Amino acid sequence: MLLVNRILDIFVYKIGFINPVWISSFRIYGSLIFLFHFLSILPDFHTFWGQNAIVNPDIMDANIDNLMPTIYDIHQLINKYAALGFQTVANTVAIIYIISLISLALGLMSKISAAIALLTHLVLMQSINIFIYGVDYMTTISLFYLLIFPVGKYHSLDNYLLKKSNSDNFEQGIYLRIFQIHWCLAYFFSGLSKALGPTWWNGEAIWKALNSYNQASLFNPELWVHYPYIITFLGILTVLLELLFPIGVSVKILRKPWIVSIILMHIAIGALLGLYFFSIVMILINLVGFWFPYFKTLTIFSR
Amino acid sequence: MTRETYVDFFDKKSNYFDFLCGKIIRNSFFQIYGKYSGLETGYGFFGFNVRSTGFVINEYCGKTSNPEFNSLEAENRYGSLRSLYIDYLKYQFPKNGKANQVDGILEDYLDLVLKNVSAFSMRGKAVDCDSVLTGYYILELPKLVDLKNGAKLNYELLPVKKFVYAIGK
Repeated sequence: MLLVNRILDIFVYKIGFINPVWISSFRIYGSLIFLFHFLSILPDFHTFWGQNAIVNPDIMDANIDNLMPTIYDIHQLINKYAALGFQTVANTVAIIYIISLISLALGLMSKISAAIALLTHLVLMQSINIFIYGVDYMTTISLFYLLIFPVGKYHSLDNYLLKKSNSDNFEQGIYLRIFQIHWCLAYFFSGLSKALGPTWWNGEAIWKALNSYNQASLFNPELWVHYPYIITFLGILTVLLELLFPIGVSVKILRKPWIVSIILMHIAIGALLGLYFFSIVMILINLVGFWFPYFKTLTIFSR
Repeated sequence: MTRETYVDFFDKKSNYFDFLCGKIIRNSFFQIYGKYSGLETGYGFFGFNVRSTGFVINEYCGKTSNPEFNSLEAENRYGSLRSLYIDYLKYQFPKNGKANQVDGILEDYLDLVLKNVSAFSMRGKAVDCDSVLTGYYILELPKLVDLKNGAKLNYELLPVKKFVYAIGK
């Protein structure tokens, strides 16, 4: 019991004032980013979630665990009782996802909205499991936290309409610490896996990543040919930034420069690899977890 | 998960700790929690090594024909599939020299996906020829260390697998 109290003392009681703007920013900006991310693929919606998609839905359905149903599964289930087209089911799931994200951004029935957004997001991603990448996992993690955190208690319609009481500093401290520890572990293990191989230390990994053909990339990889030493330096810097992230964000004087460096790294990932939404989500996570909570003043946005 | 990938990637001997970790992460509770919380991802993005870039090229009537998308996001998603095909190398060159049954099924699955993508690329095109040649290639590029020593930048496409599909007129 003493040990538990000691841990709580270090990690929660001594956390100091936490600006609640972190939790509302996470909900509002997070939902809007996920919404725009999904809207960005709507021009190709039928290519991925169509009856005649690029890979047939039944073939995509064959390669998955059964932990989450796909649109194909839901369609099969519904058709035992009523005739409904595959496309109708797919469109319905997509519309529910969009509405739940709008509702979550507004803070209307926040918990229910977050739960629906998480489930529909998982169904949509499970249905195209061979086409998912980093940002989809980050969206799942964020929606999961939006579900368990008291995100409806600040700057939300729930708060305005139901006059919900704000959570106190201690409660917020626990949620913030869970969030921070999660991302410290994530960056640490990401850095560790890079550090264990030789390619991040000699720059070969960055060179290969720069050449991973992507139409969305802003730079031609051939431009980097003349600067191999910069590539090597960037590789080493990436490993150190990620591996030492837990220390960097825990030491007060290092926190801001570290977060700025990590944000610059994510901007570079977005620009060089064309993974814009992945970068935007990661930047948001860093800001809400390690920058916004330490705002000193209660602005109009954090009242 | 990082440890498991490490052992597999560097061909290390696994110990009791690895066995225990494997048991835990394959436990159904952990798997369900991992799926719904997003923890299943691990965090080794681009870890150990970055995968080589692969391309699917369809040749039809002497011209290349590839899937066309209307958004950059769709291009990114298609990029994920292209990186999945690199598993062909794992199936074609198994570590102990013998392919196992599961790998064989997974390879067949990739063949099927490749055929679907090829058929998608041909949609809406005039049927002038009776077959399409689909190939999966890996982009071979000089190492950074060679570039430092003055090597020229030459890109090469190495074929990994090729198919010929007949088109019914």
